[in-house]
Amino acid sequence: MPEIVASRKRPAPSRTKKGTATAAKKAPPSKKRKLEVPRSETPASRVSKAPTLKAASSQGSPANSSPARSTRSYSAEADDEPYGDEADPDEDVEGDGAVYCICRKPDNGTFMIGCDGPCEDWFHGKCVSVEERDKDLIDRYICPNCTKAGVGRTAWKRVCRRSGCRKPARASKGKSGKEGSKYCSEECGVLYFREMVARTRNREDTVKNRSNRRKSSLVSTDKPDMDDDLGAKGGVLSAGEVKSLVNASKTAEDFKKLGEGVLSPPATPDGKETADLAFTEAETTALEQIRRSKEEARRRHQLLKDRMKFVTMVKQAGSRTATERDLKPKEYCGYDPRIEWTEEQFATWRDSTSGKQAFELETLAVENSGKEHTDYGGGHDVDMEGANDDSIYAQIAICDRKKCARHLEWGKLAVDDLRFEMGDNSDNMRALEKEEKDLRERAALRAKIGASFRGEGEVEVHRLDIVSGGNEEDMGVVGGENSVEAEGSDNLPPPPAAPVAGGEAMEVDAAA
Amino acid sequence: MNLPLTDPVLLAQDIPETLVARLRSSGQAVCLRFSHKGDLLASGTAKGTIAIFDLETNGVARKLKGHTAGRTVQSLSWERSGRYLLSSSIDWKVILWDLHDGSRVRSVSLGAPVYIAELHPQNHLQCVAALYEYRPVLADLSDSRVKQYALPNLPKRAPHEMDANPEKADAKHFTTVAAFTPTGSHVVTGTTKGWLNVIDVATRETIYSTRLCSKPILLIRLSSSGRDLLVNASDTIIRTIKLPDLSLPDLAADNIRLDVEHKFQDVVNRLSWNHVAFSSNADYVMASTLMNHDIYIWERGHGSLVKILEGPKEELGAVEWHPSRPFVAATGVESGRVYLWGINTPQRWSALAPDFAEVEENVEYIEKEDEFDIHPVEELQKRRLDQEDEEVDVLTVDDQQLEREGGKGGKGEEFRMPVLLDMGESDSEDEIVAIGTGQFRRKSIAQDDGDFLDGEDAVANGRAEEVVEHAGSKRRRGD
Repeated sequence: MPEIVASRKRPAPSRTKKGTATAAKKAPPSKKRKLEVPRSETPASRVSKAPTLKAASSQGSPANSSPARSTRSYSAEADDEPYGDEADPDEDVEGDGAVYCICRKPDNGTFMIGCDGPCEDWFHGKCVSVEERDKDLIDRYICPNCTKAGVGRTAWKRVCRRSGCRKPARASKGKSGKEGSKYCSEECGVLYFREMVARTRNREDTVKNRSNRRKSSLVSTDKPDMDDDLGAKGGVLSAGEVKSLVNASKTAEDFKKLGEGVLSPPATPDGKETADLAFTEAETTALEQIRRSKEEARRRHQLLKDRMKFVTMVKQAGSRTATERDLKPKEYCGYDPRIEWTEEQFATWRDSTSGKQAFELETLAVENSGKEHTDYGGGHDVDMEGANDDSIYAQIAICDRKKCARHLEWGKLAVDDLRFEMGDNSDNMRALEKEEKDLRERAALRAKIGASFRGEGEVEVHRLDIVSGGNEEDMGVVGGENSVEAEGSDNLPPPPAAPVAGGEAMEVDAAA
Repeated sequence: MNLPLTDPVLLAQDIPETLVARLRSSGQAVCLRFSHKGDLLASGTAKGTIAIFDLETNGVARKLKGHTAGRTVQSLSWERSGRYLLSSSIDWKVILWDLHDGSRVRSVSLGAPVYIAELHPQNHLQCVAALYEYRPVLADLSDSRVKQYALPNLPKRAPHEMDANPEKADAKHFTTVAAFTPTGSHVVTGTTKGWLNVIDVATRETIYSTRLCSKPILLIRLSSSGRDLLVNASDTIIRTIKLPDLSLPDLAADNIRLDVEHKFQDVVNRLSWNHVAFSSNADYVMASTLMNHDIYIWERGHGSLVKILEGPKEELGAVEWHPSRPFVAATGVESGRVYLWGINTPQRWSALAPDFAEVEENVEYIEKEDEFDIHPVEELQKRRLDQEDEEVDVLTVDDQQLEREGGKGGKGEEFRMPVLLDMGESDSEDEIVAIGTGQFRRKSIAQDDGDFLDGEDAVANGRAEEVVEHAGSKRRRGD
């Protein structure tokens, strides 16, 4: 069709023009076209636009044709001017010289947008500050003139949620009956979530830097993340965080030393706070008590272990004696009454020389009489057998009955018993430790909240001498601290918002 | 319960009638004991734990764990005030529990499985225990070095009664049960050969023996007054014996005579008895049967059977009578539950308001002239205020009522077991213990040293415990 004009000179309009606007716009120029149809086949068109005509024709339908294009076809014929002028005084039908926009300059090849109001004029994107990339987002453009005249305002479509996508969101029910969506297309939606998931400092490089390479400013990098940023999480710092750290460190030396300390999450008990804690009196006494109980529990644990060992030794001695006497194990009881001693009695024996000896040698060789006369208490019928001058060991007779019913399965019983006691002791110990931990945490939390709240933001930098591994932790949380202090909330771990805090840190004095 | 409201006919009833409740705590109950005050019921399980039920709520008030796991608890014995409890088990141990906090005051191993252990009635730091295949002991738990004093197994026999081969017979002669007299001056024991011995605690010698039968004696119980003795033997005969007052200082050993008062037996079915008990005032004797589902109750005046309690369809093991009320508890052998029998008091509507009266038939009520008058508000107000001005007597104390309501604080030390708020701790019988919501861990096997490393290291290292998440719902409730 002849009206298809070469678009090389003005690529933008032909591609970016919106259907509705142009469709509406088509009417007047098409009128002209009809009139001029025979003319356009005149040598004028052939002469000037021959090469472009071919190119244009390959472009297809004039759905997006601009009026200027059509006018250009007319303007190709110089002698059309007076005719065109008469027909439509508004539009200057003079080929490339047609003037548009508020600037009354001709089409210079840049992006233009047509007004959907009554004037139906075309405007350069640069003149009315409409970017080309937003062209799909405009629902109904009203030019500044019409806006002033009160026709209305430009209506925009919602942009797709994914950052960097300037396509309009599929706001209403589409063809296939899908509900309105925040994304322009399925792919955008999927991509959006992928980006969010991948948005840790480490991996964001792959996702964001590509899209942001064009952008030169660092600040704009952070902006899209403001809602979803989770902080450094031990990885690469963002610019805002680095800045706040720089502000916090008083000297370059300090800055260099930042990595040595251990940082704690805000407003929660520190993992490794030590001596600086001020305990109340009650807490100090409680701590002391706990410490003593723990000592006791540890000692008891050791004792129980020794007892277990003792039982094993007795069993061994028993089986040894059985083999010596050539008896089957079942026929020889082998029960040593010392097993039924209380823990105290056992502890006493354990500390005695014979006890120590037995443990060192790991054997219970039959002890000779003439050892110490330690009184081990009522293990036996002290009364019934009268005062016994012999060493207590003479009374400790290993039971050597055959099929002794009384001491049936004494071994299993002793072991089960000790296991139970050890379990009980462990539970005790665990409870004590928990108590102590809670107590210390409470004190630490109290100290931290109380001391550091000053009503303005600051960067918390820890430099502890006791460092385990010196791992570089959540420096990003530093920013989070700022937002806590600034808002004046206490005892609530703040939602980390490092970029926000980064911004704040710039304004707030680092009082560290 | 308010006495004035109770039907006087019912008050006279002193035998329980109907099954009132079924209690369950995790574990099979095998022995029972009411506390002397009657508000708690202690039960020992086959697994070695002791559950204490609160009878006002029928719930588990406490669980005591201390006996070696898997060894059944053989006997329980309460101290007068209800603060201490002595338990014994076949793991050779007797444990004295302090119910103030559920801790173990003493734990002694006696060298042999324990049949029964009883606390001295006045001194909770002394107890007597009958051991398996060993001589009974009198244990002094006063300080942590427990002193054990052996008591003789053998009966005191007149020379002419001796057997031909005394040693042989005596070797197998062991004591199966032992009990203190109410003053604690003597111990009565029963043996495997059917002998009953009276042992003087001070001298630890048998001062009197009598042979009741040839079969082993299974259980002996003294009534609270100490004048009656109940003996259950393997020959399916339950004997009641009147005891002389053994605390009399001028009692000569030779003057003691123990005569059997009644013999209770089931001649029809030849049932043997699992367990026997006196009623609260020793008027009745009850027994649970072997391989049968009933509890027999005899009356001691005539020696006749007065009641057979039925309830669950299972054999009952231990039976106990409440110390003051007509209330009976029994353990089921198969299910391990504790069944409670009592008296159901029906509602007495007439007691609820002054002019309520119970009538036999429907009566046509003809209202008075002014029945439905609408009284002016002022008058109602005035009436109300007048009532408020009535003198209410809060000072006079009605002793009877006070005693009923348990307010008597004067006599001796009243101990109330503190309520344990953290039942989670003591609740689980199983391998899995809850730590935090939805998380469980296996109970520590206690072989690892993890807990005992120095201070922070232990926490930092983090023990490799198995944390089993969502191991199913393991909450148990006393039914």
